[in-house]
Amino acid sequence: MLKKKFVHTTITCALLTVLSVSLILPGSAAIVRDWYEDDVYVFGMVMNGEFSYTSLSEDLSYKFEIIEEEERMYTITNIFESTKEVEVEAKYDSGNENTLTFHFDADLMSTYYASNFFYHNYRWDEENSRNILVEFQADFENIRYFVEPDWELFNTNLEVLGDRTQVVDTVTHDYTTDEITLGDFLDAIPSYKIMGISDTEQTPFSISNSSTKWSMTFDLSNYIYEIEYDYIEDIYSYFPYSKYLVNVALEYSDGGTLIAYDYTLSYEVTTDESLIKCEEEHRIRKGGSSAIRTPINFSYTLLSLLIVPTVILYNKKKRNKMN
Amino acid sequence: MIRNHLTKLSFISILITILMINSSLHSSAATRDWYVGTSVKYALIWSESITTITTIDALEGFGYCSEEMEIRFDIISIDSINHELVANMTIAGIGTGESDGYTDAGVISGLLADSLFDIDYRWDKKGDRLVLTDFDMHYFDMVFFIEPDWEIFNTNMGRLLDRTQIVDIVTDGLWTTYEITLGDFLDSIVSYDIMGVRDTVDSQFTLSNSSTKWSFSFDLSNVIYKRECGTHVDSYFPYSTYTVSYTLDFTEGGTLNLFEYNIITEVTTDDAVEEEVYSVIIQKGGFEAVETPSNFSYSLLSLMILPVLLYFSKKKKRPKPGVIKNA
Repeated sequence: MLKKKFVHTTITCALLTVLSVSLILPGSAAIVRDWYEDDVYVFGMVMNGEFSYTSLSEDLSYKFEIIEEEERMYTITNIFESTKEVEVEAKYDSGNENTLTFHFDADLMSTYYASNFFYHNYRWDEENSRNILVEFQADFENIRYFVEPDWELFNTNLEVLGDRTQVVDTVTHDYTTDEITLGDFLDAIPSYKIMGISDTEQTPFSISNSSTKWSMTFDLSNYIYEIEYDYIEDIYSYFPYSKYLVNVALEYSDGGTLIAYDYTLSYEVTTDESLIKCEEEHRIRKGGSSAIRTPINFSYTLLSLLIVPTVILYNKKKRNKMN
Repeated sequence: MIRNHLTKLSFISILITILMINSSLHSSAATRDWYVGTSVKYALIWSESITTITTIDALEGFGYCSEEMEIRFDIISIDSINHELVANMTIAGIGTGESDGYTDAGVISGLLADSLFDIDYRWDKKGDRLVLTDFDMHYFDMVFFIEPDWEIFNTNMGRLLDRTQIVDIVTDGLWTTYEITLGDFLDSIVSYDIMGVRDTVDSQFTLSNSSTKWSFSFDLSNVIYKRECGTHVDSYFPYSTYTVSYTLDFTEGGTLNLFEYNIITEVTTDDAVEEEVYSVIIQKGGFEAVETPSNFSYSLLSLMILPVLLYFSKKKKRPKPGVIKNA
């Protein structure tokens, strides 16, 4: 009897699994929104930052620290299908209230993200005759709280993020123009992880049509440089960041409600005059500030714990490869 | 993004610029302890925290911001005729710049005595009464080096303690004018301590001619009100907590030893409960001196700042640009 029940349960579970998988298969019927008029959501937002500067010659230091936590309550008051806009009544933790309108068009949002996610700035280092990276950003700017859950279209647009052949910057020097591709960048940095795929050289990235979570981690340690400019001598000096880690992740529910957004930046650089350190963190969570603090967000807590060891591991891997 | 703050150095840079050194070489009982070649390092620490929770939906907000800076003055010249001092001012991450100023003990103390208290009353139309809506203590006239003529200094500072001085004038809607004196103010608040003299009603305060340290603390809880502007009439909400403390301490020779200023407030309005802790410390000796366990002021600061979540007013909140765009 017990065995029969077990078999029955197993079959039921298998059936449910198949059904659930089929729901997110590409080409299946569009997923239904999970946000409607009169829905009420609370989002928590956190921004932490710490910056320190220690002079190596003057015995003087500087430190700046900021912590900002806020909560907003959004009540959906209108959904304009023709313009693909959602109107919300926003309440803030200060007691203020406001009416806001957001675009929820999946095509518009994903195209924007695909076009603006990466920013690279390379410069020609005349002294060493080489191109060096001096600025880098990888982030989903302009986070939306509600999106039309057309993930096939969304992910198709985001595929460009994995295109290794895309030119991320051009540098002109000595009557020559160098084009740096995403592949050049990825192959040169110590480690990275894009959508769960690690730093195997020449790896082509693909994004599942059903993805509702996107994550990227980059370790640019000893690859990106701090610039110092001597106004008197008109000379640029470059100093490698001994640590430069960027992590970004964005997650929606299947129905298109923002669940989590994370961005962290950590860097450290020593120039001939100073030691500069910075830790920066931005997070948004559906559920409010408590959702950021509580263990419910295990994946993100775990993620933050895992990033550094992972990067170290990849660093070692890279070195082993080189050896 | 964080580094943008370094270039702005909003608060402390402005503070330093305004504070800049003054000196004068009038004859005085004490001998100054600063000369050409004197090098003094200071720690400047500013912090603010604000916590809010809305009364209806229980939305929570918390903001904390602190800026800690070491600054060094290297005195390069003293002009005894014009009472000027020139020093190289070096700030970590900023560099070195030459700065000068002139003043003497009489001018500094005169400015301090005239502007130290900022007291603001308003007429509450709804309650048909005078309400205290602002109390602050200015510190922008402070200096790092001063002639040690403490007799002049304390004589001028004595004006602060004149209970008959008018601190604010308010007119009500019926064309009646009210003059509020320092005595009215002191007698209305919960408690205070001025130069070690406590809050006995009608106390007469005096300053010793040799004082080099001045301290003030005020408890205005449930006496001072937060004002919220309305379409027709303003609303006033009493602060359940409102304490202010101020300490200014020089060496006998006229070098700033410590400046400390703290405000702690809590108020409940119709919309939210708001708590704020604001603190400024300037300590001779740099961060090391501040961190010394024997330094009571720093211990006090730690007690206040670390466990207490500081609030930022919404105006000061600076969410990530992407977040703002969604607002």
